[in-house]
Amino acid sequence: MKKTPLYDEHVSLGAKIIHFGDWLMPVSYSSMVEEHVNVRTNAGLFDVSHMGEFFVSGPQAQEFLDYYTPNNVKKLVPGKIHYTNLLTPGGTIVDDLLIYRIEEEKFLLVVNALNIEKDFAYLKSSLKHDAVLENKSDEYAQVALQGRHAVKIIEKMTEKDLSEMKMFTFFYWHLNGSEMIISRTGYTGEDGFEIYMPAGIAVKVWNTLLDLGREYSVCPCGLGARDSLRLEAGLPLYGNDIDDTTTPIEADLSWIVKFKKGDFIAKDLLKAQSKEGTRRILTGIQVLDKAIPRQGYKIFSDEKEIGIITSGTKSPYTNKSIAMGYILPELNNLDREIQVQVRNKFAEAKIVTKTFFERDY
Amino acid sequence: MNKKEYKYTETHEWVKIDGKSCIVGITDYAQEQLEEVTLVEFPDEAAEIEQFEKTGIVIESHKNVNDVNSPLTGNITEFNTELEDSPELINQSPYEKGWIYKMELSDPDEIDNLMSYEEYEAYVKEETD
Repeated sequence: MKKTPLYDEHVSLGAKIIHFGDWLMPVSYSSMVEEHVNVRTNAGLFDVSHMGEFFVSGPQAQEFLDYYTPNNVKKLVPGKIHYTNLLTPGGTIVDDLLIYRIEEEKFLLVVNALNIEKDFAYLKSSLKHDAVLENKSDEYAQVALQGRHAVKIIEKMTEKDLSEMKMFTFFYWHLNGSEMIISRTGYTGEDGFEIYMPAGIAVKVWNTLLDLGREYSVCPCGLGARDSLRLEAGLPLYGNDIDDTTTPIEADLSWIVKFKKGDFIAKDLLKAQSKEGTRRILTGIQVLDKAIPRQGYKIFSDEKEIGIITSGTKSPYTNKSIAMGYILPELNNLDREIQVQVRNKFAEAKIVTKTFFERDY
Repeated sequence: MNKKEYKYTETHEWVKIDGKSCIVGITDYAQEQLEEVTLVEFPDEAAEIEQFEKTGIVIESHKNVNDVNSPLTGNITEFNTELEDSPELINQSPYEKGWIYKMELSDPDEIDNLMSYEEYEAYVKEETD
């Protein structure tokens, strides 16, 4: 089993540890619900060192990435970040990722932990360009500080004024001779930051953030809260809501598919889907009866099966039963009454936008 | 309440036996593992159930969906329907207000298949180590 550089910190904080792929990760420290609500009201610190970090550099690095991902890498200027997908020739999703433009000819790719090997093999076999691809996942630790107070804690640590710093941008910062990247990004629907650093400095940074965050009621948070926070914010999870059978058009990620940018992988197929429609679309669902939707539950309308739930929970912040799922596109109308099969019963539900939570600051 | 006199299952149910009638719940260890219980669902009808088999009662937490198994064979006589509106009682008071159902047991010999308090404690310790 793999451990992050922060594993001993989690154990000493009393975390419940679970197996996440090959990783031993904290699922919660106090409780998932408390941690979730604390991120919505104060701030929370997550160890996400299991995520993968690849670097792509060289004269044709931009061309390479721009072909294999549908968002417009040409428009990404140094210092900025965008969300995108890595696609197969069939237009399905190998992974979802963030691309950081570090320099004109150098990019950082942040990929899902469980896809590191798959992504690297795919990129490597596709690389026919004048560019170098490196997997630095084992050398990097990553923590995420999320919530309305996150900015104050990062300002205290870096002694910088970050009031003008925009979302999806980053800067370099140094501590004890170690260089790290601090970006204004996250996976919770809150304001927040993600810090990429050499593994050796992770314990120091983790404890510094917890110490400085004490006056803002920061708490350590596990993968449980991370999952419910991203679901409330309407963000897809690879393996649940998107995978290598779904396309970005089906996954309601059309906003990252830039048809005008020039040629890219599976462009014609995705364009056809965008124009003519798909056989399913990812949407938001709220269950109105006393029942909790879960991955794999079937969705019905007029006694006909019309789709399947891909993620669901009882939202810790809104207390509603919320879910994402694929349904027939022609039935994807807001407020449409549907049913979700929960064991041997049919729970009344309706279609809603999948952003179940939006921050008010 | 004296949980030291209760009997326990490997699936973390407790049973308080009083002659032929019993009360069943889940243990403090079980509720800690579940974290916040968000929903308790009872079957439409109380039926005869077998030892260690599913009762049809489901406990859902934020984490997952869990079946309640019966420590003994018998007939369910009452569900704690208060849990439908207040599932959090399982977290707050697993051995008292959070009881789940009552039953009439049909085979007292089956009690020998259950763990004592001390045996259950040792079992949990082994599971967590």
